[in-house]
Amino acid sequence: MQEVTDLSPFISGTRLQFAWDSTSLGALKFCPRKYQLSIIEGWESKRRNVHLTFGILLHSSRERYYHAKTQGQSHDEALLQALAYLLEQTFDQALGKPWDSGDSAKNRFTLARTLVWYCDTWRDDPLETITLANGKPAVELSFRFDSGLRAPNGEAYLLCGHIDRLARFNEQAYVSDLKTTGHGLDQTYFLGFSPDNQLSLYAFASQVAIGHEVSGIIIDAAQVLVNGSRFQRGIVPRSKDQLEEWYDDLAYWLSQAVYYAHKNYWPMNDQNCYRCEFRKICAKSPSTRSEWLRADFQPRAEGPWNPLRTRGDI
Amino acid sequence: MTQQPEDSPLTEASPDSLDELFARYDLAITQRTLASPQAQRDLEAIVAALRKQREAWLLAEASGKPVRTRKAQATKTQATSLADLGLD
Repeated sequence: MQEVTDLSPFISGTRLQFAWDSTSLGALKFCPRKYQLSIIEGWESKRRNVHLTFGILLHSSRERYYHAKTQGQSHDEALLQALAYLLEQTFDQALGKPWDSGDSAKNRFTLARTLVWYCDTWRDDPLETITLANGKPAVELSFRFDSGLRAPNGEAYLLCGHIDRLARFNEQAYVSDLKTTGHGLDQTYFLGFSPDNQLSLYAFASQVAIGHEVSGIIIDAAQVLVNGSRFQRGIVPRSKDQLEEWYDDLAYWLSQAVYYAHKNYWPMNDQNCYRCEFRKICAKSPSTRSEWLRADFQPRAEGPWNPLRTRGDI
Repeated sequence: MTQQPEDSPLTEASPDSLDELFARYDLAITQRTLASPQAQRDLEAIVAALRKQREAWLLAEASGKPVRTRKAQATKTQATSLADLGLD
């Protein structure tokens, strides 16, 4: 892995990223204009995305559970630690009140409920966490590696991200990933992950950066409803040639990023506007957009999106 | 897989409501008394109450009946302008 001391993910003096994660690559693929606004300029909605916050909190709480378990604690001890962490993380000490998501299905209570029910559901997990060569369990694996592709100035493009867990099931290795949704957990839900940029990156990274060739990704899906949470597992396969195709496409998309940065212009993909948070902005006349942007969005509190330090690939 | 732990000390439910338990635990966060036996008991009671809800949920799911575990935490915002409807 390459040591990176400069925390900017952009090549110095340019708007060309050299460090990419699934969020920034996904934004570029989704719509160059969305990529410009959310990644390069770092705008985020004034009402932070509830689904992202919920997902991050559930992931990080589950990590506490796994950590405690790998340290030899019992299921209940680990669960109590994870829940204590979750309740503290969702309490704003400065304001003296708990997180208010404003969402009836995804809120503090349903988050705690989903964590407890999830851990109990998979208490005797048939997935076996892989042990790495250094003897440590393959959980919370942050990766950052040279993609083998080069920017025009010769600098290496890095691929970055965070894998929850590598696990073995029926003698095969898989990336294990947790997803929350309001949708039903039927076959259609799992089919939606093939193809999928984020999961292909994880499968690619597990073989290149972590040294484990995987057969695909096992999705632990949680359907979060007002009155309860449902859980289902699904296998999302990724073959070697599928990953090679994803990598070939990556080279294409990075060349597009070079082109956009060179032109200093990121065009709209107006076929994706209906599910984009920036739709209201792009719908305005170009001359008034910056005012609307400042009214409805704000610069990201942690600074512009940075795959070298940000976890957001939920 | 929906195995319910049976050998757990956390399966005994507390008579307190979840709202009360959350509020008491939040107070412990505010007062920085999370290490106290009371805060630990409240945390265990939250898990116990959530497990009871899960049992009820699983039973209802098996029987096809809807179950209500808690009142909705928030309702949809009332639209007061075209902007609220995304029509400005």
